[in-house]
Amino acid sequence: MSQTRQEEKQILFKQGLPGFEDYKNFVISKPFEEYPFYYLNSTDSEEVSFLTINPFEITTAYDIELPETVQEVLEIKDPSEVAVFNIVNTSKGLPEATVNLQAPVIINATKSIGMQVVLNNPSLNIREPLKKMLERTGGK
Amino acid sequence: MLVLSRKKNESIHIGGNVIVTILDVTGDTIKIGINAPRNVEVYRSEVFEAIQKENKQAASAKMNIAELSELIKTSNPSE
Repeated sequence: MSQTRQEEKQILFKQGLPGFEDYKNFVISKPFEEYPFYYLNSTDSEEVSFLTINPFEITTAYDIELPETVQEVLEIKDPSEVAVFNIVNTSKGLPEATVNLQAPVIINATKSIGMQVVLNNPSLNIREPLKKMLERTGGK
Repeated sequence: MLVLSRKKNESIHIGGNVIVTILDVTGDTIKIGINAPRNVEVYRSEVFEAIQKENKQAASAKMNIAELSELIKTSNPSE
């Protein structure tokens, strides 16, 4: 298996994440070069570790509009600074894993700051089946 | 909890820069206007609570790289 140690990037979440408001320091890393998965691990606690997916590597159907407040909080000057990740919930096992499309993790890669944004768009699924997303694209 | 009675078109100031206004009352539905600085996030409680719950479930799962790799393979018909 081609698991090579990928470059890690430290990200500061000034407000933590919903449910983890006290955890502000995270590291994002990519375990597989060829797949769109990323780990988002808290450096404040080993217990807090998320699997995430970069939606734009697997779908063109995911459209989000960042509220101006988010652009200001994250000091976003240019869209090229923005990275988007969706948290994958694997608590029922990987085949049943779901992806949170309603609350993406938005990162300003230039400033190394991020926040999880709860979008006011009821059409975005909080539990989109991961399998369904991968099948649509053949996992790429 | 602090409880205040307000009529339609009356407001409440929270701190120096958050204003909550009752815009309309129809049956058991109340329309509320919120004026807040851009850096104050405003969510419907049930939405925010659902995201908190989802995060807690997602964070408690320790990922298994081998399992993840297997899932990708089985959902990728071209491999």
